[in-house]
Amino acid sequence: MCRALSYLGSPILIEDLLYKPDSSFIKQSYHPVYMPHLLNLAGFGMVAWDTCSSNPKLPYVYKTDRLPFYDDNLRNLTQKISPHCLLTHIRGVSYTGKGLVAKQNVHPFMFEGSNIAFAHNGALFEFEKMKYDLLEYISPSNKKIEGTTDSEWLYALFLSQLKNQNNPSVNEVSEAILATLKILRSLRYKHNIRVNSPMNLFISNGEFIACTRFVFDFGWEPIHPKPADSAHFVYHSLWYTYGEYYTVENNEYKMKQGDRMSSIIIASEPLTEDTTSWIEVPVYTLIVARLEDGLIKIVSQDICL
Amino acid sequence: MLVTDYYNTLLKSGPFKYLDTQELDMIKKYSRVIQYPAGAVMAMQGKSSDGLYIILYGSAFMSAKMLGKKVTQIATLESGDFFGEISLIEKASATATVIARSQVKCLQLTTSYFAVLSLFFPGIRYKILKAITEMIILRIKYLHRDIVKIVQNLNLNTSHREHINRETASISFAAARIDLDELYNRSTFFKTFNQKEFNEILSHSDLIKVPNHCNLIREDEIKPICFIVIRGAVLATIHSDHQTAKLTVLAPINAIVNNSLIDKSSSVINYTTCERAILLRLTNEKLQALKTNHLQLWYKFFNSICDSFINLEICANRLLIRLNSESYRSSHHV
Repeated sequence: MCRALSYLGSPILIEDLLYKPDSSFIKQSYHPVYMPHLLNLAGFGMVAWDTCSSNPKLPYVYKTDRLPFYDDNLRNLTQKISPHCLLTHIRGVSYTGKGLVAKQNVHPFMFEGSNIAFAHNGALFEFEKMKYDLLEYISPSNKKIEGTTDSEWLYALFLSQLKNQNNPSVNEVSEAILATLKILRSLRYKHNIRVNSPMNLFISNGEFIACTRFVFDFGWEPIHPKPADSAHFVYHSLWYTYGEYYTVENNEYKMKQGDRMSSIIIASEPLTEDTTSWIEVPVYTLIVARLEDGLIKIVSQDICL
Repeated sequence: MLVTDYYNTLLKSGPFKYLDTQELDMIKKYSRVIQYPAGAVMAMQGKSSDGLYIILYGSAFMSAKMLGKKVTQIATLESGDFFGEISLIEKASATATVIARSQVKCLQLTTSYFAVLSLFFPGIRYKILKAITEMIILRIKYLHRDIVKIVQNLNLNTSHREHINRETASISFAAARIDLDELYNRSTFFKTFNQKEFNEILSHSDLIKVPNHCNLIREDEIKPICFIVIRGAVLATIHSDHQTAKLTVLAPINAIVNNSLIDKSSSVINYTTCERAILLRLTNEKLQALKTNHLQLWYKFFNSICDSFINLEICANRLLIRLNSESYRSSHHV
């Protein structure tokens, strides 16, 4: 079922997001609060943009199919890198053995030559039925799928809807996300797939973060046969917090509220037990955050079927 | 404190306004009195809070740290004022910080003692919940007013559809392919009732099939009614002129209740399906029959009604914060 986290704003030590808060991102791999039924043990990935690094448009990328809480290399890196933009994902798959655990299936995805990273929290029910119909909508330059996930196909589909892949505007990204959803909806209708399929997307190029909280056929579980695990049919949440910077205050991590709102975290669930400074985003919402003159600007849009 | 002062203070206090003297005596038996010196923290925002506190003597400052703002003073609490009413019902964390301004004497009804009280005196629980629900609805109305003010000044991209009231169709559980055993056993909503009570709820409702974009409860509608979402999803929105702001989406299994059932005033929220849906519908007549003929069940069912309004208030608060933080655009059709 997965957990994802995106960050944009003042440079932050990655460890302050991944390890230190009481419900830290890495802890969510074995103790997610808003995700019953399944642990996230099928790989960890992160993409981080740091303006102080060489070639700052090119992000740090780290992907592993190992368990992140045992990964010393990861821990060491997070204690050293302070990006202004981050996208991370821990993958959860059902315990049936059908979901292949491999580095190729770890999010965020980022095709060679692209600077747009993409992660997905959710699953498209009966994706195999409609998968190859997507080829019609994927441009030749984006036919670079290496793994077995529906998410990577979604990434290729999304990139193909962008008019300008190299430097898309926020409006172009929003339009491409909506076009992607429209194509998926039409193909689901074509194949009579009418079962709950969450589509929480996390997209970034280091200059913006765009996230959706969306579900196709929300509230419709499959009837016959009932799948062995029901993890995909529980609700997939999306939350955000924003402020000056994320820091420890009275022994707890929270966004410091000040005069300049210059940092935002958008994530599957809050990083702390205290959620009073977090806002849950309702279903059918597209939310985009960007930095403008050092301040975070948030635009949200209802997505209506 | 004089006995009469005690009763007067509690009666003045919102949550206990429907209780008689005997029932207030029961409250006294199941609660305790706590004293706080000036400056003491009585509740801390974000931390666990145990139950309801009524101020008997003294005063306290209530403040909260809101997203996008610094710490904001909300109110000064005096004798008869209270806090923690949501924590009493739901084991939720404190939503505000309360600090004693002077020496304060408080009556505390903890969550666990409230549960015990409810077991032996469900009628008392019902009266307290009814009073709290009324207060929540009032707060939702204030939030509605604030939200409408903001929405009216926004230039929303309102390409929302005209919501057509379509006819709903009755459907059997078999035709809807709903296994009743599974519905009962797999939902936390229905598991709060025993099997007999579950069957009684079903017999007081009809199962309906509803298309997408079907209006269930219009803002300004006064007819009491309740729906329980079994399949699909329902959108709760606030309207202003032709602009719409989304409050929340209600998926299975959640109750949708027109506030007119509680306060006899028109609905402040609009409910429309946002997927094809299957719902249990309890008309006003059926709800009144449940209340008249199955009082103990009605008390239990009222817990779910109260929960639905607690959730709405949380969503309304969040929407208000979001409208102040974001550039919000309404519906975009896919």
